[in-house]
Amino acid sequence: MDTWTESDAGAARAFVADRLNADFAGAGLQKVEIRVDPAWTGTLGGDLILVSGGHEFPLDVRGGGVEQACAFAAFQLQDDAMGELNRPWPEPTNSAGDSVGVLTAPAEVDGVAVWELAGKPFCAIGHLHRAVEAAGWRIK
Amino acid sequence: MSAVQQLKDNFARKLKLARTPAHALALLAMVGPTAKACAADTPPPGSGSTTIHSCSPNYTDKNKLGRLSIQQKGPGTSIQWGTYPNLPADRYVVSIYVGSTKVDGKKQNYPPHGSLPARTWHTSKNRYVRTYQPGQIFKITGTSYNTKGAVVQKFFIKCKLV
Repeated sequence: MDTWTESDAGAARAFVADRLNADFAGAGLQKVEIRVDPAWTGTLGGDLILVSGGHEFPLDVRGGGVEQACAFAAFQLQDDAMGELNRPWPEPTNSAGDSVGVLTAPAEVDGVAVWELAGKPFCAIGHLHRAVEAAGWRIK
Repeated sequence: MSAVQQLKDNFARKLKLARTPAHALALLAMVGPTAKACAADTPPPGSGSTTIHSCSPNYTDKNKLGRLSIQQKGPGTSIQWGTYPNLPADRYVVSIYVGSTKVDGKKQNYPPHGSLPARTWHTSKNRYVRTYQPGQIFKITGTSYNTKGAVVQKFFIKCKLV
């Protein structure tokens, strides 16, 4: 039985968009929106797409779940951020100003969608800036 | 280090290199004389080929107008793609297809590049699902426009995924 209501769908889309917008703030990208667009019907996400400026791609929030949607979108948007900024991003620096590495957003999730640092989970997607701040670092 | 992270790190390094002026100059030298001089008699990259090449480990098509590249390290790995047109343009619009399904679309003011992971988690199925199947065709189609909205160049490339 289908228990996915329109309210559920709206909540899931908002949750994904809010987490992405929180993390990609200041990365040179336009605000993320998740829309229904019949032009994309037949894609992995049905007709649901993520739009950030000129970048659009299907997002399978329902079938894949919100964590997979966050991970896949962050994977895509990280490329965009690096393209816009013309440098690796996000790259936290420590108090001495030295790089601690470039965080990555793996598209494949195992539970919660995360940013990884040196191959290990660093924080959940949506908490990037506060997690970096809590570590005593700042993002270049 | 996971394969995905290695790819991201490699991408980050490549991007850093690709956007430097020195690399840009090297690219111009490699593909020949000024693009404007070639615009009338050189077909767009990808337009002259009827053979479907393998995407793995990579497939690149280049001519005097630029370079298009698709990389798939091996079966079941993610795909990286990039467009490097030589003709100056104000806006680039690309669509990415796997088979007949559009999987990505970009409209931006610099030559687009991107990637497609090999698989994603599917909560409803409780397992990973592939984003493509071996034998499917990966295709990039694009158009660049000048500041007046006129077409500068059309380009496409396709290859077979393994």
